[in-house]
Amino acid sequence: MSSTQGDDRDDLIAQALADLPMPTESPNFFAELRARAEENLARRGLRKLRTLAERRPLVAVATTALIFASVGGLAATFAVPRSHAETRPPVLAFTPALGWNTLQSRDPHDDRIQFVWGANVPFAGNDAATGEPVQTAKSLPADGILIYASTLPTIPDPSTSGYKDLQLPLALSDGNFFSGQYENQPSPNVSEYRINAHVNGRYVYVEVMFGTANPNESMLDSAQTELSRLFVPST
Amino acid sequence: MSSMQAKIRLRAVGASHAKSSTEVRADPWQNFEDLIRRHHSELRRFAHCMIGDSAGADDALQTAYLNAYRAHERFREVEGGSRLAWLYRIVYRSCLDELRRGRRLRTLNIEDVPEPINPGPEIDQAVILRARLRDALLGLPVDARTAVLLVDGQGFDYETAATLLEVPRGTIASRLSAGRAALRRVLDEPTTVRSENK
Repeated sequence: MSSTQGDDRDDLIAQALADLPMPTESPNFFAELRARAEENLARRGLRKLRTLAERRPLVAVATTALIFASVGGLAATFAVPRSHAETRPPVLAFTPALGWNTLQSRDPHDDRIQFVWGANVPFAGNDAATGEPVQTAKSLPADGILIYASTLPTIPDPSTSGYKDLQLPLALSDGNFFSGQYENQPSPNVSEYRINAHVNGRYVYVEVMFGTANPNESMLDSAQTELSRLFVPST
Repeated sequence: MSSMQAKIRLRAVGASHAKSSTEVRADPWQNFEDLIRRHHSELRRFAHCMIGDSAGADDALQTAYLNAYRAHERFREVEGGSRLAWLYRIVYRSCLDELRRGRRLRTLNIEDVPEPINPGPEIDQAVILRARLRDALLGLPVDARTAVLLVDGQGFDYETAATLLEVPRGTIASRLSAGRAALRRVLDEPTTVRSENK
């Protein structure tokens, strides 16, 4: 019943309408709806990221056109202002997706060191405030997935570091799988893929964590889908 | 593991150092879905009565929900009954689009409401009545049908229905009067089965 019900109803017609049978709803109605929304969101997010990445060349083209158009000394009277958006470099990010929470941060002292996290569970504890999902990683449920990526400005020895030259999208198969007990394991139940990649001129370190030692096919597919949404800006 | 990598590999060992420009983005869908689920049943009834077939109504509803989601920032700012009315307006517009797409938008006059059906004798009287009502409802001009569904079907008052449809209150009253008259004709008619042989 509507929350703004008034006294204007014709009771006989109202009852007759209420008695009209309704067909059974498809059990997939909301799943399909969510899939459509996710598709729309991904398209828009990808457009946004592309726009961001392409902003600098576009500005250069616009500036060039302005100069050519201003023959006769007019060019000297024009100044192309640099907006805040233009001065802000593209960042490491996940294309937005339904069902995934993301968190981005940068090193306060070096803009080239960037971090992004994506999780199919809410960030735990105070993680959203600290910018580091430590508690989320430690408390990852059995069906939980947490992806972490960071960019490094340099690495000590590129030839021996194992950073492979790769292209986006990254794949789980680009990395090594760790399970059981391993170094820097957030929690005994957590397994993970670690990927060292040299992408778009940046060194990228990625960890894809699962809340179980044996992630099933569905979890692997889901993780791969989110990993495919990782955007690494060009240098 | 390199020293740089170990340094970057921060959270697993619980290291915590301040980051600048942190941005958190929660699952953008779940809250919205929770909200529409609360009203979905009545909105679905409205859409089905507007369109008359299940597939078309579900398509219209999904499109409406996606449109509402795109504007969900604004959606959040609208509270209570106004928010529900706003959602109804989106569903209503989506139903109109669906009707146009399916060429189901009728321009019949009230007098053109189809004659009541003449079912077989085995059909229960209540079933007959519902079938007649449904046909009569779908036979109404869409404006009258919408007015009846909003006021009598969904319980909106005249003012809210007028706001929702962006028409004057008097227009709602007029459309309602016409729609009710047609439906009353069906409801008041005896449902005894007529036999051609009698």
